[in-house]
Amino acid sequence: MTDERLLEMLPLAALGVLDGADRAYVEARLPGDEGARQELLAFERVVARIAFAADPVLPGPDLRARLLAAAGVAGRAPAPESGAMTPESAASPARAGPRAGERGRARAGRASTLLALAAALALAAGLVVVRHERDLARREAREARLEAKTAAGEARRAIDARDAAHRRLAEEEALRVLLARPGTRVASLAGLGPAPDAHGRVVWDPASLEAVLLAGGLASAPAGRAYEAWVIAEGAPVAAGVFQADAEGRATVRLSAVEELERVRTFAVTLEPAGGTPAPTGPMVLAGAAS
Amino acid sequence: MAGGDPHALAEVYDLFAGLVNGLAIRILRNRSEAEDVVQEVFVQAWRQAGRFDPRRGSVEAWLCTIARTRALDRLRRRAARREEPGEAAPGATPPPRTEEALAVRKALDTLSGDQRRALELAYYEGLTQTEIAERLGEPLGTIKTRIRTAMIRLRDVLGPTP
Repeated sequence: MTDERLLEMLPLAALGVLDGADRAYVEARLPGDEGARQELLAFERVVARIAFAADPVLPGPDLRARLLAAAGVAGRAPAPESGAMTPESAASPARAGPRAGERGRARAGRASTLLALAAALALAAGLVVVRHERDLARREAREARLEAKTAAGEARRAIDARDAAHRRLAEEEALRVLLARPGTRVASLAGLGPAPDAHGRVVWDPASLEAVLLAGGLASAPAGRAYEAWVIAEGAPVAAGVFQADAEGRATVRLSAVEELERVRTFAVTLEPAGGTPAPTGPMVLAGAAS
Repeated sequence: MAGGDPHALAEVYDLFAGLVNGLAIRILRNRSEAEDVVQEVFVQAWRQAGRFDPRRGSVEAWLCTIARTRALDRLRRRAARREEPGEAAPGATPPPRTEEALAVRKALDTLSGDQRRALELAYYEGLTQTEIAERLGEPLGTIKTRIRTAMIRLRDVLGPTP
């Protein structure tokens, strides 16, 4: 039930003018009446704002220095935009300019932030814990991402290795089949100028136009370069496959089925641009006559 | 000292020392005593920064509330000793500079002369309703009604706290 008498006294209570029986009445009834407490709070805000009607007057500079020295703050000059006014500027409103209201609001906002920050220092220990947990979570996320990246790299390498193994198996199978044929022939290749340690053999079947190159002692091709095999008959060399040597300098390459294999006189390998070329342009590293 | 950031204290002082000092001078009519109040206000605010609650009003309103309480305490002690202010009261009142100050002055201007006089005796001199009635030679009931009406008027004109 609304206590009308209590409500009538709240504006006076906010201003602090109650005395005697009226004051005792409010003090007795207020704790049990949440609505009345909210009403009182609203009037107290009004009372607090009456202070703004007074003219700002900057205290003497000694006071600031004294206060900050007591608080252990090195003396800093106040900012030019300080809201504290000198008596002179307070007496000359024209100097304030049209943006005075905006500055006032900006000052109020900044001060709210500052005081909120100051108050928050009391919670510093709590903040440290929160920050530590946040940093920990970030670190764990970073490590998880790194692990995922590492795992992806390993998976990619595993796939590459598997593909290479498949290719090798296919080539070895082709070689096994080729070797089993009655018309299969073998040519030996020797290392030339830039690759004296290189060596190789070509196993081929002129009837089926199938051929496999087995090479060893090859250096890794420079960046952007690759080895290219050639079948040379009576005319110009015919490209038969582009390849790279493995880490041990070996390569097993199934050569392209080219008609020149029927009349092949020489097998050769040159160092070419990585994509291969239709005609040899680079140095020859392996060569051997078809017997 | 616990609770406050000294640099925050310096910033807040630069922003609101003039406002707090102006209020203290208005109440005490003595610049030296007013500066003592200003120092007390900022020391208290710094030490009790954790008690500031933005939901109850702005920072400057909080500082002014502390200043008014301390200044009125001094005024009452001075009255008990039957002392007079040590120096002349400030001169003519220049117009305020902030929108908030302008709004408060406009709100006060909407009050009748009697309402404003009663309100100012309460706010700046800290008199009780009985003391105001005696000072003005009016019935207590009249003073109560006058102050209540003035407060409700101010609340309605000013609106919510910005």
